[in-house]
Amino acid sequence: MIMRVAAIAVAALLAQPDRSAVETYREAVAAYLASGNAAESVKPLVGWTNEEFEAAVQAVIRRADPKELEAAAALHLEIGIAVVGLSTGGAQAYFEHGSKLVDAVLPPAAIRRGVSAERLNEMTMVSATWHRVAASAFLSVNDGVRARLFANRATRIAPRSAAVLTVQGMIDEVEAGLSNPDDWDGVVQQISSSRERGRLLVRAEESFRAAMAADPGYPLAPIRMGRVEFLRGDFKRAQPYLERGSGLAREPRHQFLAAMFMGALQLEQNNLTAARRSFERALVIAPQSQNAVAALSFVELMSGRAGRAQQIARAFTSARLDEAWWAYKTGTLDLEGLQWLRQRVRK
Amino acid sequence: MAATARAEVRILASFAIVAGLAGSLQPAPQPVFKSGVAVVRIDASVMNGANPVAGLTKDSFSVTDNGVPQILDNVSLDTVPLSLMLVLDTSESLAGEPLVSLIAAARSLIASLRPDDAASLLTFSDQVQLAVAETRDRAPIIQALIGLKAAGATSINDAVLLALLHRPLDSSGARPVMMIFSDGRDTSSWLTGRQSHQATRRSGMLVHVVELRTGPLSTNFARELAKAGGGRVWSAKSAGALQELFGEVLNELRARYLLTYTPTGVTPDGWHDVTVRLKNARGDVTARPGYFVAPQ
Repeated sequence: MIMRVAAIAVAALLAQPDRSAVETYREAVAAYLASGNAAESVKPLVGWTNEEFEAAVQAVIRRADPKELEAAAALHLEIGIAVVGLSTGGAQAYFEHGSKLVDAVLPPAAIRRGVSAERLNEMTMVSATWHRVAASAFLSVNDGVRARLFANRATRIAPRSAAVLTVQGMIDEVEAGLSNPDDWDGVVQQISSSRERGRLLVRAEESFRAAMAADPGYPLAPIRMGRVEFLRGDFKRAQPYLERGSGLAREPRHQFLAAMFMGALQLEQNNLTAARRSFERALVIAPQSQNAVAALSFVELMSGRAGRAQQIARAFTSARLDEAWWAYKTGTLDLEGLQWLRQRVRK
Repeated sequence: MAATARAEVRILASFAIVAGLAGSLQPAPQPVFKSGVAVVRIDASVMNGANPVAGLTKDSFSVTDNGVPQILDNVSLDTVPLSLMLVLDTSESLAGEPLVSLIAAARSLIASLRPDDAASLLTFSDQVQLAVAETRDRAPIIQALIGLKAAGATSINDAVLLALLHRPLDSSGARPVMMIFSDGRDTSSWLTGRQSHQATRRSGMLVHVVELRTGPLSTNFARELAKAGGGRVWSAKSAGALQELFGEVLNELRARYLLTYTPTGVTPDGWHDVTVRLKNARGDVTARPGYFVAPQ
């Protein structure tokens, strides 16, 4: 009997987290809501275990305050993005908590009757954007497996969104880029790698075509479609996609990607002057981008301007590992989505 | 997962401090790669099996520049100080014992340098960072090595280029050598392997590659890189073997011959194929495949 009571007590303790811990967590969320400063807001949570986070997250979900849920989800997204380059496993833990929080913003189908269509649409967009940004964070460090987990959740929420379709295509395209037959010694690995690349590029193309059909004005889909053709070695087909994407691009990140991919194309076509211009444009948009630095200094070196190449490379090492660095490392971190979520939380 | 989550919150809280310690460099005031070549220096290794071949002279070598035989001005062995750039992979896959062994191996290597040798340290995961600019002072390098953390993906192609471009501004009177360590294939560079090999050929820097190979599959990246840089690939089957291997690389560097000649009978500009062969002696010669002179 005593043992049974003890077991119930333990279970109760597990189910009911330390009230002060929940309050500490809620205060951190409130601080983030007020200041927008994720790094400062999470200081009281330093040293927390995954279980402590889980208990606090469940407590906030039970409270069902949409504003608090959205802010907490955004805070977890910020933490995950900050650590994704250091530990993808750690980032996943934060994103999993955040995913539960943002899912709770969207009421289950059974109780949606009282919710206006406009509000429902808004909540759907928040959840889809949140999952899309999480996927893009993993993609920024080329972790396609984890990116797919969150992109699939975004697809379930908003299957016809051009941005979500594009993220799905990017996962295949980035993985195709990593599957390079030239990397391998053995013929078997070379053939296998080549087949895998071809298969992934077909899937990426399907996603990008669907995205372009869903929203012809969305620039990222043609930009990445140009990259698909580039990876296939079809430079003639790549160019018009990149030009179209570049023409549509208004966001700096989209302009950056269009410039980088166009530069890569021009370099392969041995047009070093044009490639230099493209990479210089990219570096102006993102002065901390290691990719742009590597690309431009390589072109300068190959053009016989080694001194200029050295200047660019040497200036770069003062770059700081802040958000912009990650956003422009590969240009896949969905900075616009993140900023939109932040603005909503701060409203 | 719990421990990871706890650690990462700490990391986030101290993010700005960590970023501030990332290291910095002043912009280069002047270029290093010269547009004209008066004297060509070729760093050549001569091995008989695993043993360096000693006692070779000018008369032991036959050198051609774009197919034209050249007369050697000088051949020296182990008299010129090293300008060693240590380029280390610190990606997530090295976490734990491999990183501990790597740090121990690198510390031992640095401690074995001679007083007039200089060294620098560049690390890479996703980000490429010049941790310590070239110095003859061992302390900052040892300190930086002790502080290394393993995290992130592998940008080896970008690291090769950026390391080449961080070679000392004035390496005259020293032998610029890059020793690059990695345990895996590139996962996050902008540049391709082919492009990093092209850049290496252009640089004229001697490049040795140390790889930790724990899997059965091999890539041709390391072999092509070493070939482009006139060095060798050194494979360790376990992290514990790194210290001994680093020592072997240093011994090999000490046993290299420095051949100098003034090019004659060749067009100055563009790429020069250089071949180095032995005459009147036996051994396998490893040297960089050529050099590049930018048009005036």
